[in-house]
Amino acid sequence: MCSPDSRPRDYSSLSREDALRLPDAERLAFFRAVKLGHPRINGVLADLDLVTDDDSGTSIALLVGPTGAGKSTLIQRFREQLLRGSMERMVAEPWHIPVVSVEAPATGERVFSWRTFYYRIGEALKEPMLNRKTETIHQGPRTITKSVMSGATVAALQAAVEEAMSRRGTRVLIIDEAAHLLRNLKVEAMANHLDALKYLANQSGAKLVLVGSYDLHRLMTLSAQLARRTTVIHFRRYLLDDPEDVCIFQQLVAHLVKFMPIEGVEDLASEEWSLKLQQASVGCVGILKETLTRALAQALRNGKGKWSNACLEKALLGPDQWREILEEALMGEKSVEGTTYGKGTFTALNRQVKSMAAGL
Amino acid sequence: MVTMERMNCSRSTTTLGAMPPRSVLNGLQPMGLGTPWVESLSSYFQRLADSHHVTPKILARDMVLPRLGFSKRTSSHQADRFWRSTFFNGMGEVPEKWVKVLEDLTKVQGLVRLTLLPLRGRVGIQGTSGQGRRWCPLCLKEGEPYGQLLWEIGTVTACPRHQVKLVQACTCTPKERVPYHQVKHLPTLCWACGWVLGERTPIDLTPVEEGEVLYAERVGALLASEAYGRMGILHDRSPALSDFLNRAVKDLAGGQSVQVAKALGFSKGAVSEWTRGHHLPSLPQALHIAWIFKAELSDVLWHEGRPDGPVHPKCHSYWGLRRSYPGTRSAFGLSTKLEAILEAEPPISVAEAARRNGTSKRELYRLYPEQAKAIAERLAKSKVEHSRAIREERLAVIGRLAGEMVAAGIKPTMKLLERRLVDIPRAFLLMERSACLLKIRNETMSDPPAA
Repeated sequence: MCSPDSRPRDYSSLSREDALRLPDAERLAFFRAVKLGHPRINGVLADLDLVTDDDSGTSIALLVGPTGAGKSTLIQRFREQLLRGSMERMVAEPWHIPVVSVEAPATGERVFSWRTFYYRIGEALKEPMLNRKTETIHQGPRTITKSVMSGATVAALQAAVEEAMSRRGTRVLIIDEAAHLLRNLKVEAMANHLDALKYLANQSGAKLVLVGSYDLHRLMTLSAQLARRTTVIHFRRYLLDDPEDVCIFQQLVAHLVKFMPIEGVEDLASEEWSLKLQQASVGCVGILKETLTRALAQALRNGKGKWSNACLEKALLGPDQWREILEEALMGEKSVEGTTYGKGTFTALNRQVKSMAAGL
Repeated sequence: MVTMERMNCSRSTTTLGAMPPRSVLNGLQPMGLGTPWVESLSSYFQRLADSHHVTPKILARDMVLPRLGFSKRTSSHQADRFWRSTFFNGMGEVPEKWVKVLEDLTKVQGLVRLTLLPLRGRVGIQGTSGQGRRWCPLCLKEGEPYGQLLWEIGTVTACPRHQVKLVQACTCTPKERVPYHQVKHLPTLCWACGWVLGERTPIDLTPVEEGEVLYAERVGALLASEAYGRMGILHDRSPALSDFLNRAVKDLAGGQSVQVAKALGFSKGAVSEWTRGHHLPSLPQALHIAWIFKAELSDVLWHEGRPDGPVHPKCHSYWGLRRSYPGTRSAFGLSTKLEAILEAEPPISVAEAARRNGTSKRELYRLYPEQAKAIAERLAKSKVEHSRAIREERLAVIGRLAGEMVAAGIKPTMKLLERRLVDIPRAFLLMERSACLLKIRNETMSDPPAA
């Protein structure tokens, strides 16, 4: 009798035809694992690559976009890209970790927990003995250590993480859900948090990529110094009023439908359905994928393996949810209009100068 | 039509994904490799712990000792015992095991060069253990951020770079000491007061013998040699040194090991044990052997990689010089010492010069005839001058006394002078009778005739 394999199965090498022969649960897992590279992702990846280069002059990159746009998937792709690019060095130097990706913690406390945050970065760096870190104190000419029996202090963790990143040669630190850093904060506290992040970047020599919703954009307005060293990369959704976006979205839907492990979904690839889906998913690829996944689950479970368009309707976002997402997306797009990477032009600058002069 | 390729991504944001296995600890590079100032293993361990912002005790307890088979409870008690011990940088089992574990944890190779393990089975273990924590204050003052392996070798007592004695104690008082749990264990800091050692430690002004410096230089050259650490760790005795001695016996001494023993200044029994491979000479003895026979010890010990094959001993001008222990190291600077004796005051005899350098008058004349003659001539000249000065002084006293007697109306005679000059021996008066009479006559005739 064989014991069940606890490792997750790799579905990347399976085709749709192979997936059709799988049991329902695995078919769903197969479709969940399908990720498509599309022009929007490729464009943002290229921007990220440029901005995180050593000579770019940027310390912090803010990757903002509407919820469900696919930012987390993009970050995974970016991480894999960085790993591939550093493979030679990783083989030569077994301690080298070029990229670290963590999620900013939301512990439910009123204030952001830096201790948990540094712990997560330490774990991602494989840093051992995290709860035994000591702080070095310089008292004039003498150097002593401050160790705490109940665990490492935040200052000790911070110093340990900075040194670990520096010693491991970490180039990029990706912080997903970075908006958690700003919850319940006044402007001064926000600046303090960003200063702590900047200090982390400076001490370790790494670039920070903060990923999150449009809230992150507020960081740009805190000071001129921050504005200079921060770059905003906007991961846009596919807009309904842009014919090119509509065309690309239709192809996206067609490609995804090709991987759906169920018979009878071919109609979804039509122009009519792709427009409906684009509207229903607010132009966000992530929401589209989630919707199709939910619809597939519905079809497999309740539809007894047969596809029907009713399954798709049940999987759609509720009207209030949809409105909330769209409003946030529209407001966010407006707020980042003048600050996005690659959008600066001399004309726009002149306009800005004139409006400021008029205001003064 | 836009192409959309299927991506192959891991869903987890915190796993390493396609990354090859990474080292558990930082890949800290040891310092001074390939130089005489190579870092010691204990210094490396402390810096490694500091790079992880933990104490060496915690690093030993949590990362190293469990891998050596110690239980968690034992690890807590033993954690500080190993890396602070004097044998940690030596040739024993402890450094061998620790080097292996640290190389595995850091994925840094070549840590064996931070210890004396490459000498295991090649030289004897005597004198290699450290004498406790020692350092050169000038090296640390110049900003070196690590501790040298040279300082951990018991028989090295001076810094070859600055030519000062190695120091063992900081000048901190009990009031300045910090509690143990606050001590920062770094090789450059005092573990009692937390000050940088180079800033507080006074420089020991005790004169350093040239032999000590030369010995330290030769040990440093051995540690810096390319072959050091390249050939791996031995678990049996190497025949390299005994083969070298046997070649010396055969090629230079006509098969008579007693001649080789005389040349080296060691006992016949000891040399016999070495040539037969029963025992190994200690590090100072091995260095002396190589030096006497004009070879580099690294070439003798690790001849396997040499394109010319094993080293052959050559005859040295010190052939026949008797060794003085512990001055094995002092034999290296005899010529310079003799020069110093020629400059020093007061002049000494050749016998005294030989005694001070642990040799005999006959050997000095044989090996350094010019310098020995110069020492003897200098002493003889100084004796002659001294005798002349005493003679002149005594004659002056006699002349003065004769003048006083004449002035008092007394005719000075030898008998009268003898009675009055109690400080001058009678033998002098007898030997220098004519000079004394001349002096008396001069004093008598110098008085103007009475009117």
